Amino acid sequence: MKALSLKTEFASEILILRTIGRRLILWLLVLAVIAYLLSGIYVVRVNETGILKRFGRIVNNRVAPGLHYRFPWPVDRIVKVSTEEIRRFQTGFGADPQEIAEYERSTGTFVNRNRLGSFMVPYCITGDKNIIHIKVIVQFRIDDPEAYLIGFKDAESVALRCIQSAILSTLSCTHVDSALATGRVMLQQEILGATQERLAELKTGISVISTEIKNVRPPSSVAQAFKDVINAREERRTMVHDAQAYRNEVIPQGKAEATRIMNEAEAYRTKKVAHAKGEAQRFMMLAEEFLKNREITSQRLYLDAVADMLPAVQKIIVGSDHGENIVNLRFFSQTNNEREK
Amino acid sequence: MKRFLILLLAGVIGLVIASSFFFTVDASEYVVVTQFGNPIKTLEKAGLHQKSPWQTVNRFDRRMQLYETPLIEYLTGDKKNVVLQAFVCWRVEDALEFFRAVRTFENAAQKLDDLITASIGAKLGDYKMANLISVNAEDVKIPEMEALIASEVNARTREGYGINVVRVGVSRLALPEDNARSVYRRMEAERSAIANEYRALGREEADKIKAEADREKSDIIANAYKEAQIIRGEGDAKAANIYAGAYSKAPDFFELLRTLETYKKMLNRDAVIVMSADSALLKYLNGAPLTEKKKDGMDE
Repeated sequence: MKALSLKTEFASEILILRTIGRRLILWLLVLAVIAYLLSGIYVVRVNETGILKRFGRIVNNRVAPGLHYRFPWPVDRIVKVSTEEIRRFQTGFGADPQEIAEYERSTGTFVNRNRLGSFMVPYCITGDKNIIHIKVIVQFRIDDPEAYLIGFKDAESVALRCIQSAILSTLSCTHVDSALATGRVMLQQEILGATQERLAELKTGISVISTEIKNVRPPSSVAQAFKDVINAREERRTMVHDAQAYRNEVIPQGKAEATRIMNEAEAYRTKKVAHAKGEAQRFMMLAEEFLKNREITSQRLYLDAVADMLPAVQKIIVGSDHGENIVNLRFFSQTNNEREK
Repeated sequence: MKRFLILLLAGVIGLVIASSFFFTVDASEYVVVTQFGNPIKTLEKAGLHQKSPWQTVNRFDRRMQLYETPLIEYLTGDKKNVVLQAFVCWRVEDALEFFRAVRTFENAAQKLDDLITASIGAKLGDYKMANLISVNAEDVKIPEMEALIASEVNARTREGYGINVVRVGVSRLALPEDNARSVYRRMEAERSAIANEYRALGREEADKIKAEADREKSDIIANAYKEAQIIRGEGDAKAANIYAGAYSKAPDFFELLRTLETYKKMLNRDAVIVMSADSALLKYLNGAPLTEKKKDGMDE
């Protein structure tokens, strides 16, 4: 009763409200339709490529970067793949235990075998049956988004297996020394080649740009033995250097000795000749005097000599008057000896 | 107003009913349409398709799948143990066959595992250890073996399961634990042999260099000695020549001088000289006249 009276009382206001409400719903519907149509606008960023699907069928497999329009859901769908970006992952056989621990700590999860490679068998075997650990950094790019997305459930995992297989088959015919030292660059090239070959064969849409060997090393239990080889090589070099140093010391010594001998000989010759010349000169001068007066000079020389030498010697003078010439020399020599004693 | 709402509702209901007559097939899947459990058609073409509302849509991923076997120990043809892990790239090729025989991907993995391990075991029996690991690149036949296993497994899965095995690859190759230990020991022995060789070579080279240096030094000194002797000889010869030249001018005087010098050297402290009182030197002791002079012989 009261409501009815109210209704009649506010009839005009109700009428206005009803028309407003109707208009509002209409506008909302129009807005919804516009919003639905606008939802077809999408952006492909610079480093991306889009794949446009209409009812699941691929209409355009390389939508270029920029602003585009598609039919809204449920007709068209767009999938975007980052194609320009260079991605990388690390793989190989064997990893440092502390690296695994760090990885687990930083991510809070147990090691993802797909991304880091399995640690269950942490080694690889070389052609000469040596066990080594190798770690490879792979850089790759998705260059065929259709193959990458539509052809493979998980193309990266497949690529990872291909790289492992490439490393394995390359190392299985490589010598351990060339893998560890000399042939590292070549090994890298071979792994890259084998990887690309495998990926191209499968058409994964992934192109590997580089496979860089981060480290190759022998297992820690035999690392000491490998280090010893390097030390031995150094020792060999040191020994040769030492020998050369010895040689550098000895040869000049020899040369110095030779020079000394030569100089002594020269000095001897000079001395001999000079002495000879001097003595000859002296002799000539004396001889000249001698030839002038033979008798006197010879007599004088004789007496000089006798005067020089006789005072030093023991003399026995045997007196005789032409007859007593026999002297008992033994007696003299005996007394001589006794005196000496 | 009411009419408008009813219209809207009818439109929505109409869409829902219509959607049960249509379905989409994605580019990455196969669809098997079944009617009360019976497959009636397989759709491989992506896009919008029509069906009856009582028919069911079964979707199968047509993309490449990856399966990796666990590490299993095998025996090679020459009775050596190897631990091997393989991966398989496979995809559903015949959706109907797959739907009938396998149905789920877990099942498929199980079946593939059985086939692959059996096939690897059989194939490894045909190869030697040297075909897996060798310094000779021609001996290593891993790719060949992979291809053989793939085609063998493929032949069986294609028929029975509608699965196409595209590639089989070895992703790990290892040795059983106790074999690995002996390999470590051998590696150590090899390394120490190499190290010893280096050291021995170093010693040899060093000794060679030292011996050569010693010989060279001795050669230098010997040559110098030879030269020196020649020079000394020259000196002696020249001196002799000079003496001879001078002495030949007055030979009797030379004789006198040299004799007197010889006496001087000969008669030292220990010599005993017996002189006759008649000798020329002592003649004045006896008061001889100043005429005759004669030298007497002397005795030592």
